[in-house]
Amino acid sequence: MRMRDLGWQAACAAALALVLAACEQPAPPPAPPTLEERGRDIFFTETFGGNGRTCGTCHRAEDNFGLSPAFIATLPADDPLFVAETVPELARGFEAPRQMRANGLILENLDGFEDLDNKFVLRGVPHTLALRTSVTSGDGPRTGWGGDGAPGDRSLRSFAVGAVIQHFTKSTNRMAGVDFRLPTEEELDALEAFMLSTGRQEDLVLPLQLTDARVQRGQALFLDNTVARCNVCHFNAGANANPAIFGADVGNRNFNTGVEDLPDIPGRTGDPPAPRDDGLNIPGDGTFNTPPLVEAADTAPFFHNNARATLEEAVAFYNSDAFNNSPSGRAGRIALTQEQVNDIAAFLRALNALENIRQGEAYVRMAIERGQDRGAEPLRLAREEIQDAVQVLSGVGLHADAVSDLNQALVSTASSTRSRYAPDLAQALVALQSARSRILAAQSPAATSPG
Amino acid sequence: MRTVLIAVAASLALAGAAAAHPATEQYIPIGQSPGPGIVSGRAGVVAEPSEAGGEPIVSVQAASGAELGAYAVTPQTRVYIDRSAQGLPNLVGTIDDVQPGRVIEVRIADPVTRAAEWIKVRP
Repeated sequence: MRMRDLGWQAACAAALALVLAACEQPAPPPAPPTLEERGRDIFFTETFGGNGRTCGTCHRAEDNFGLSPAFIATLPADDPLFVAETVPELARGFEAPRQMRANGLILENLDGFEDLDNKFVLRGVPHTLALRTSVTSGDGPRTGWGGDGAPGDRSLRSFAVGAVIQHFTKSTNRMAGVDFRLPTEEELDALEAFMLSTGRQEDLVLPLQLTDARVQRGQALFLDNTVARCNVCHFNAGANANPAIFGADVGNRNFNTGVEDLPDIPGRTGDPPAPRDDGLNIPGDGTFNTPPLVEAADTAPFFHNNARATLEEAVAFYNSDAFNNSPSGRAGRIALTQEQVNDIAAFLRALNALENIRQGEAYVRMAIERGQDRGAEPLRLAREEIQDAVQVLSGVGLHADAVSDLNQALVSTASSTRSRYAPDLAQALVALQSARSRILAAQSPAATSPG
Repeated sequence: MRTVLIAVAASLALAGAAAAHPATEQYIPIGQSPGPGIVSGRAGVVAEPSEAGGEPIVSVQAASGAELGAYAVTPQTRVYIDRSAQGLPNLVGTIDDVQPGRVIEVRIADPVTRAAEWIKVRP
């Protein structure tokens, strides 16, 4: 009897299990990460078996994918950026830690690794935003400040290989398989996809219908090829040269603008003094490639050697003897008044703020789409973009009305409770759209297209 | 205005073509160089300059012996001796290190002229 009861109970349990199994909806398998998502993961977490650095160690998302001295000052002592201060094998010939902390300069052995004590240059970290618009040239890809940063086929895809060898190594022996591992082809594909996805995906089409008189004057100066001549090398405020002057397929170019001849480069008086940087090729020809300007206002300091701290100082550089006596400056002396310098800088600040707004909107929409449980990261990024726009504009008292809207957007993105999440973010989008309309009278498709 | 623009272009057009980064290439063993345009195999014929119309020619053969291509060694072509088996980075070599039968890898600088950007050879 007892055996029969047990048998009955077991049969019931088995039947129940079968019913439950049949009723249970299996959770859908998570979607595999896209190539871009995989690249993001590699960019920020993969150390390639090296000293602990990742791509994101120097190209900080929180610092617009660049690295400023002010941001470096906020990092803890054990941040992998500072491995030269903590790893004995990297104490000599790997970085110049005082220069890194004081001036945001990173050591590069562009002319070879055979004399680490004496043969190096110190360069700032270029941001990696809008790479889709800035890497291509008629001569092939241009990467890094010299335009020759990548081994192999010179492409952005191959750039990571050179970066791992230069910056990720456990020791200055730089032995692949011992001091680091080289990225796989799949990893390079993913890294490239991610790097191309950040920031603007296309260039602006200038002129824009801008509202502020200062900004309008700045745009007119920027586009005048006989006065400030900005648009000759920074066509449409991007990184490409003017095709009307250099040819339709010119793309990104290198120029010798004399930045190395400035008498007051901060790194020159650092420890160790930054040696003269000869730019592209070995030996160098004194040229460096052109960075995009739309992203300039929130990615200080400026030039390959971080020679100028503010946007206004960077614009004023083109008044200097260093520029006017350089190969690029000899076409005709640039002599802008301080007001003209400030106007051009105001124009660039307005462009930067518009880009912050565009990117901020994209992140807010992503946060709405993902919902509150998964929207925290895009919301954080949106707030950083909005805060950047506030700083870029309010730094020179520009567009107070737009700043007010941006601050409202910050409030809306900060106060969301579960029940108010979607309405608050919708309100943030309205505030961002209002901020844009304060800067841009008639919306230009190129200025507002999603990235 | 046109004159000014031509002058601007002339004064600015002093930049050289972008090149690959040669410094880090020395630390990349055979088989791990990124990107397309790389031919791997064994060195076949290494022709003298006089036989090849001015520049030495290196041919690359598959394991079967089939020829994969022949490439010009120009003054800009760098030769690296792969020492990864010894746990060491590549050594800068010369065309004399490219002996028939050795494992080699050639990066093609120009598909039209078939000039080699670099040759890596395993001793």
